[in-house]
Amino acid sequence: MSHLREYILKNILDQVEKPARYLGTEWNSVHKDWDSAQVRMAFVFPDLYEVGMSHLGLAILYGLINAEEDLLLERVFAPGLDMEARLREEGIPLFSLESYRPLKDFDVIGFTLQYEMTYTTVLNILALAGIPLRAENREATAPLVIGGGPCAANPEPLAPFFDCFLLGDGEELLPEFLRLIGKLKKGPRNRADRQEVLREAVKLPGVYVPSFYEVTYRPDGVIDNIRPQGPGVPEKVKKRVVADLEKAFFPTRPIVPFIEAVHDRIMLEVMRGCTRGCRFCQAGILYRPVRERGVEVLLRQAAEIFKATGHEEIALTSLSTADYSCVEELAQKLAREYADKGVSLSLPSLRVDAFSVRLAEAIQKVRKSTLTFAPEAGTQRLRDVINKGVTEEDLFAAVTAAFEAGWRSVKLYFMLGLPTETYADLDGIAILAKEVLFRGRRLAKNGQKIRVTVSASSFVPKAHTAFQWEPQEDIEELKAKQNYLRSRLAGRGLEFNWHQAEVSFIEAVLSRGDRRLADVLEAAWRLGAKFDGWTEHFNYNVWQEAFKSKGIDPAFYANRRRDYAEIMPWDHLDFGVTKGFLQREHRLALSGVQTADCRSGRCHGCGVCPGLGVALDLKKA
Amino acid sequence: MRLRLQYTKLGPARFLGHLDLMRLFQRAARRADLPLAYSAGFNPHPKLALGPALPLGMESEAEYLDLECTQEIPAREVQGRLQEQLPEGISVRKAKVIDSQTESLAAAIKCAAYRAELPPDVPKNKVEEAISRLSSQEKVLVKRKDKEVDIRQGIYDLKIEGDGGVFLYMLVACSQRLNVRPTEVMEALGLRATKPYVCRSGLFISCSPPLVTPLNEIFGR
Repeated sequence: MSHLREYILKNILDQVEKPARYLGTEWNSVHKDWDSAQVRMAFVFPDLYEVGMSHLGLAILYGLINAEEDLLLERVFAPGLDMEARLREEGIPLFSLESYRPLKDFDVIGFTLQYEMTYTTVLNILALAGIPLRAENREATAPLVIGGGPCAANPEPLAPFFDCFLLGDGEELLPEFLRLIGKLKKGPRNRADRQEVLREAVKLPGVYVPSFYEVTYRPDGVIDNIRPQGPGVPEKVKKRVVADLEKAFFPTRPIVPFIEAVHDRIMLEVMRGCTRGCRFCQAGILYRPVRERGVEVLLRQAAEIFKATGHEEIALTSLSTADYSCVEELAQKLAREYADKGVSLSLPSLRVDAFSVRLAEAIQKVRKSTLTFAPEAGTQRLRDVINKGVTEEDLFAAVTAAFEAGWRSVKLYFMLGLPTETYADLDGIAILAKEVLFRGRRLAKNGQKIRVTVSASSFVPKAHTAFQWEPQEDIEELKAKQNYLRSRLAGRGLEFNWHQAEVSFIEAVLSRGDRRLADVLEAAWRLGAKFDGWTEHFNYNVWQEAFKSKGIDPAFYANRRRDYAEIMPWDHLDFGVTKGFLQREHRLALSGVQTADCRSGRCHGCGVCPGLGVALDLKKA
Repeated sequence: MRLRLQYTKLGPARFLGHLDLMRLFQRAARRADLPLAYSAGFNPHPKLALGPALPLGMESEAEYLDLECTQEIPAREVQGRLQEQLPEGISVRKAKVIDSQTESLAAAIKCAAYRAELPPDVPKNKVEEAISRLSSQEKVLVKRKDKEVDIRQGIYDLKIEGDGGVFLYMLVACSQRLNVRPTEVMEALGLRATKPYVCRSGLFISCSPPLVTPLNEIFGR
């Protein structure tokens, strides 16, 4: 056992909350021999253990890299505030959970960037590791700091802190990248020269090296140009796609956490991608095209994972599992197979229709108290604008099926501040919620109480979506809408909750931000910002002060309508979907015209398949 | 069939909470492919019960677990198969088939023995004095949340042990009626109580010698 681990177990863990977060010896954790690995990577999830351990991407890359004899990957999470304080007091630099080695000892420190509100935690982790925040201030042989995940679709606010970003699916690219480092290292004990690695890595499709691009700005603050610098630096970096998901690595020995993770269950990824085409949805663009796994492969994976973990729940995960072509067949077979093993099935996301509810009813033996649906908008007009493809009849059929099946509580997700939204759309939300409540009460058996919860987030325009040119409504207007809805949703059986508008505002600034925001991020972190995704830690004053101190107007990023001709900070990052398609979708949105799912067989020319040389992969017509 | 197992919770395993441990055993049993019996109802869970919770951070040499299987299976085999699926620090020391009428662990267990390592700067005779003073008291009041509880009647035996290091041995109530925490006793004796140096050394279904374990064995024999 490492000396550091021994010390921490003996002297620190008794004083911190949830000490088992820091043990690192969970079932199926991999403790590889440090010295025999050629290249070593620390995989950082910049949030608490319980959150990070729920993440499928971590499980995939952990299994994938550690299955390679010459490579090693260990986990790092943001320590809790109490642990951070103790580490700082004792001058212990942040370490990985498996070997308890400081992050500085690794060749690569890779951050998964799942949401913008983790950015300050990313900086905090670098600081806790004793690594200079800005890449330019780090030594030539310092670890490479890399990033991936959905926020790599526009990582510009983080650009100065990172050496490079890996775009798209990581299953093929990450091993290629690590092996390249191995090749450039002079022996396992040495370190590769960062600049040399970057000059070679930029030739790998999918690797984006921000420092190789010069960004210039016009006097009005808009980007003038983004120019690649140097030989071999591509004009545009294309994301990577795993063409055949069935052949892609899938972890069958995932770690079983000691403490309960947010999602503590077997995750079967039935497909990747979603082609419904909701116009606000970034994931729907980033993970195109849809690629499914066949039932046989999934059953085999489930059996292996169950044997290796003993989990009590199997979740069929994807962006929209009810759309998976073989969902009924798979669910029936799994239910039959695991009924007597004390294992339940779950569908994390339900489509708004009766089919989904019947499916949930059939497979979810463990009756969760609440069913959740996401109509997103309150009127048909606005649902057509966002291409939600859900009608009032769908919703009523779904909730009727739910109440008939015995559910007594329904949660409805909506977004406030969507493009073209008026107060009539808010009235629509209230009318829908009351109608759902009414139907529930009519179907309720012997006076059971019915509860309808409306949960409203605020629309955040995202890069690479049809709404990337749209402004976010300002905080005051969002709050006015929240208050309006609150007054319309008062009453017995109704509950209304909403997201903090200030958090959505910062998210909007960062999601479509450029490199100039790096100074603001650093300033916010220096003023104490971290764990911004946690309501109890988010401090808007700190952010206001950070913007002010750097002379940057956040409204320029969040609340300004952008022109089609404007160069976006992410225009050199190619996720396959063309700008032309997004503009067309944007125009169709404003005229309230829907675009059908390309599963139906009609191609709308988003550009992904020809652009990336891949194809829609469905297992059943 | 019902089985009762004795296991340790040592080293890093001391950082696992009671519910975490419960989940850990359930999953280990499923991995071991034991023919677990499940409760009826909408949300079936395996029939597996742990003895009294150990404070987070404290080690134990003898904890107990009951489980129920749907098929006859030799106790030794259950012990072996489960052990293969358990992490560092948790070792199953004993396993026995028990009668279906046997009292549950929660109902049967009456007292617990703890061993605390005393800091070297605490003189042995001072501790002995404190013990005799406490033994002569009629009441020992401790604060729990917003109420005061008298733990005197739940303190059965206190003594100094060990040749090299100095250990305090405590035999105290550990039942649904009264649970005396070792840290409370140590505070009452005027001693610093730090968890890593306290270990639960046994759980018993009797409160005075001969001490009988939940496996119906006489302690120390």
